[in-house]
Amino acid sequence: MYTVLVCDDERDIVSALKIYLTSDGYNVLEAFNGKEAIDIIENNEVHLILMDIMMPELDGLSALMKIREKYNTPVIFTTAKSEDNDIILGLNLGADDYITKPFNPVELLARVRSQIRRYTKLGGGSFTDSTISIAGIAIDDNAKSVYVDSKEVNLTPKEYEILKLLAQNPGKVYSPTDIYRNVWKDEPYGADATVAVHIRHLREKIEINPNQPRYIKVVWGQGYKIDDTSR
Amino acid sequence: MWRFRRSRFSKFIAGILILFLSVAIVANIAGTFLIMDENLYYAGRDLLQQKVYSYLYDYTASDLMRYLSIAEDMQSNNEAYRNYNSSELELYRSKYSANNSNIIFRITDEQGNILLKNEHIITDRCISFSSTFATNTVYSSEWFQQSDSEKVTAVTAPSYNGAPTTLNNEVQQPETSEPAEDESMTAKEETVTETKDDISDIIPLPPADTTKYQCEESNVTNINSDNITKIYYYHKAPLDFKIYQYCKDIAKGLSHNISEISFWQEDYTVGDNEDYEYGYFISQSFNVTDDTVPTKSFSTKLYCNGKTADITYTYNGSFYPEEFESRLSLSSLILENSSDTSKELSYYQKSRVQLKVEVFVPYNSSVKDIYRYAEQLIDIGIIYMDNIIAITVLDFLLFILSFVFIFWSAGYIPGRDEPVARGLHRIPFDLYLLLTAAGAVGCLAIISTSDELFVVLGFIGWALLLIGLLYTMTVRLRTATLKKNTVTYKLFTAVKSAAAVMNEATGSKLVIALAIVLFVFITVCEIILLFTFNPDYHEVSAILFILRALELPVVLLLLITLTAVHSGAKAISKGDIEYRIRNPLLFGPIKKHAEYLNSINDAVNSAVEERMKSESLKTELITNVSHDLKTPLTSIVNYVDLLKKEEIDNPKANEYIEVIDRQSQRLKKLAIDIVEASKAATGNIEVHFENTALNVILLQTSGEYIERLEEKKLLLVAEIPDEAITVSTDGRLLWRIIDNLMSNICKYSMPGTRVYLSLEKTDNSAVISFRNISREKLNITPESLTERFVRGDTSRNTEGSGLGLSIANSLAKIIGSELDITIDGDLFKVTLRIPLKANTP
Repeated sequence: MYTVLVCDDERDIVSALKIYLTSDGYNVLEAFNGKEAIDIIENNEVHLILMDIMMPELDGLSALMKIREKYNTPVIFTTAKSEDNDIILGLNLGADDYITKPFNPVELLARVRSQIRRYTKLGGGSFTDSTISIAGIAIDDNAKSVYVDSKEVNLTPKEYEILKLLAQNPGKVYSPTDIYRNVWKDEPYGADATVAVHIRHLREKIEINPNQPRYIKVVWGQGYKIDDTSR
Repeated sequence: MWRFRRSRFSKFIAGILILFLSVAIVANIAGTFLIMDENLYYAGRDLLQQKVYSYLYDYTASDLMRYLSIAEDMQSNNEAYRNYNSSELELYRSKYSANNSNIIFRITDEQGNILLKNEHIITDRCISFSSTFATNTVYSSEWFQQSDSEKVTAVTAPSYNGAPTTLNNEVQQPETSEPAEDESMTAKEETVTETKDDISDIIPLPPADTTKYQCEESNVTNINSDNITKIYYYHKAPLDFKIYQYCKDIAKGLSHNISEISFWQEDYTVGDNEDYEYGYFISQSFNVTDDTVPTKSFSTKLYCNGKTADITYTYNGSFYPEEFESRLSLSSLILENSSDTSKELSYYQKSRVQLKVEVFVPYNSSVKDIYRYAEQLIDIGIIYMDNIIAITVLDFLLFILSFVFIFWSAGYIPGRDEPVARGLHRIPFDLYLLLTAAGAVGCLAIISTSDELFVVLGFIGWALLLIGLLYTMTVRLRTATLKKNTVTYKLFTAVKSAAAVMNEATGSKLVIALAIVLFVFITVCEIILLFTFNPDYHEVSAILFILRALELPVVLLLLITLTAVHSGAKAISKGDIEYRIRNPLLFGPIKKHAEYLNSINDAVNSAVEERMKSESLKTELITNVSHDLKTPLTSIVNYVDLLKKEEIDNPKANEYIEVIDRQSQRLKKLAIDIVEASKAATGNIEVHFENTALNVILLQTSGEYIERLEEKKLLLVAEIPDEAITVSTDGRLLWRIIDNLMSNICKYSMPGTRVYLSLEKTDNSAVISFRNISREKLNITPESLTERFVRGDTSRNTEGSGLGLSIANSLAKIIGSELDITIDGDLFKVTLRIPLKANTP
């Protein structure tokens, strides 16, 4: 039983989140501003914090900074601010993930699950020399199995090869042609969307929201990559 | 090699060689031609000799020319004479008689007898003329005095031998006029009269066997006169008072030649008074009235025993040989003491005489003129005739070698590795050019006027100048000072820097400098024109000049202020709303004008600021509204979701929940899109241009969308070229455009149709086109589709927010691309034209 702290000045949202999280089997603590959240964290064992940014008394970013002074509990921001700058600021201050309002409850739960898994079972699965670990993804080359936030995902051989290729050189951008040559061991016949389709599938399997990928980034007009810096 | 190149001495030698060889080459070539053509050679020599003396002695020139023309006439007018070799008519430079410094005109007959010998005696002070003509019967008959008189007193000539010499000495001034001559003559007569006391009885007999009688004459010619009408001859001839008899004998001897001899002879007895001196002076007047048919009369003054007699011989007809016919009439022989004893002596002679005309001109070895040298060169040329072509070629080669050397070494001086322009090479080049041009003009000017020697010297000088020009040009090119070291360039840079200074000071352009130049030019032209037409009105020119000088600052002020206003207006028209025309020189109406322009820009500026402010306010408002909407929306979305999970039996309630769910999703989408649309429209988005492969992005697009399209029963046909088409753009924004367009296609396409996605490259842009068949009928113009909240279907009942195309259009503008929508029936086509090079708007 994991404890999730939900912190939002909107009581209806807190209630709704409590319903979802409770039904998913979490113990939920409620806070309505940053100060309350810090108080609760100091007095309780909390496995994950869901926090709004714009709150009275103490806003989410300030609260996060205080929390990070003592704890490394995963923090997911829920914010109506969808501007890139706010999100980047939040992530830089030590947030582990963010989700913009209005959010999809299913996505929210998926992210919560993912973060708790990472936090509690980091290094899940058997780690050997042949294991490639990057961001929240662990690739066991012997077993040909892939774990995302310690949860195994089933990939087709091609998808696996693609993921392994990208993970071996984090940050490097592979063009579709590069990927085709490396994975299919063949010259691509003309302009072929095969690689793009496989990547799409891969993203759907690995990412919580394939349209906002965390792991497999699309570099438009160049190719695909996995960033080591992604949290 | 380098030492030679830098050596001044070698250059000097080369220069001398060039000079010498150029002369030598010319001489060689000329000599070659002369030698090839013998006539030309002689003609050349003649020409040279004429030149020599026309140069040295202008006075004799006319005589020479006259002789030459006589000779030429003889040659050309006379049929018989033409048979003679032209070499018989020659103008000799009498180097063959080196002692003779006189010019001799000689006419000889067939036998070589000298008929006429005129001699110009050239001294350093004057030219006197002596004429010796040997006559045959024609001239010998002039001494007839008496007929049938046995008593003939003869006076020997030797007693008067000194007279002509004395006379010559006395009249050495060539300018002496006729009356003066007469006087001196008279004086001489007296002198002679006084000095010759003893009367000689010697009567020299005329040579019995001679058919010609030789007279020696000397005369002084007034050679200043172009048209000689009178020549006085002073005879010193052996006088024979038995001349009649003598001449009679001669006449007999020549009777086969003389058709008629008539004598009109009055008794005339010269008394044999011992007190008288015997002798005579004969003065002859030689009248040339017509060149072609000369009529000449000789009047002889006979002096005898202190008395004079005038004898006039009239001699008509052609002087010239063919039919030598002349009538010599002794029209009168008037003795002073017997006034009525006029005699007329006339005879006719018909004979055929061939004459040889020669003119000898003296060879004066002390004269060292250019003709002399040329002549010597010709003579040398004759010596080297056989080798002259080889010598010419050799000269030419040497010449070229020297020439090449001097230009190769141009600019190099001792002690310097690099060529330097020093001394004469510092003279501004255009001045040098001007000098050369002036030299050319000068040479052309003196061609006709001056002496040939000066012309030649002038041309040599000019040629030196020209070579110097080439030489200095080489040096200047080598040291890169050709352009810079000119007055023109310096003036130009001065004007340019002045303009730059002015530009800085006034904010105006080079135009001002040009205007000054133009103004000054016009003023100068005006003044020159004024001078040309009214050269006397200097005051007017001065006033005009002063006026212009006063006008210039005013014109400049106008120009500067107008330029300032002009450039200000230009900046304003280009949209520089911060620009204000500020120039301290502005005045009066121009200042007002500038102020009006400034206030227009003020108004524009504030309007733009207002607009910007309102735009950013709008964006802020939209962002805030959106944010404020999102919070309650989150609750709605969440609770609707929770509600859906509740088990509700009422089907109507379930239906209503569905509607709320759908509409809340739309609201959610709208709230997100409107912020993006607002930001895109105001350009409030960061842009990172980088190389982006369009073919790759389209492959990625089709990868992303192929399954979503399949869900909608749409078939994607992607026509993507194999070659990489790379543009500089923001791939992320481009993807958002494509994403918007593709999601529109998903939303609005007729199921079961094909969707075309293609990429092609044009000259300077890449074009991505999206084509699909609309599900609904499109009752809208393409233009209004890009406006916000407009959708192709009017039902407003679908999932879109109506912002997709608007956002795409705004984003396209941000990345410098063009979005173009075409509607053809149900065919909906969007083309995105991306420039190949980054074109930041």
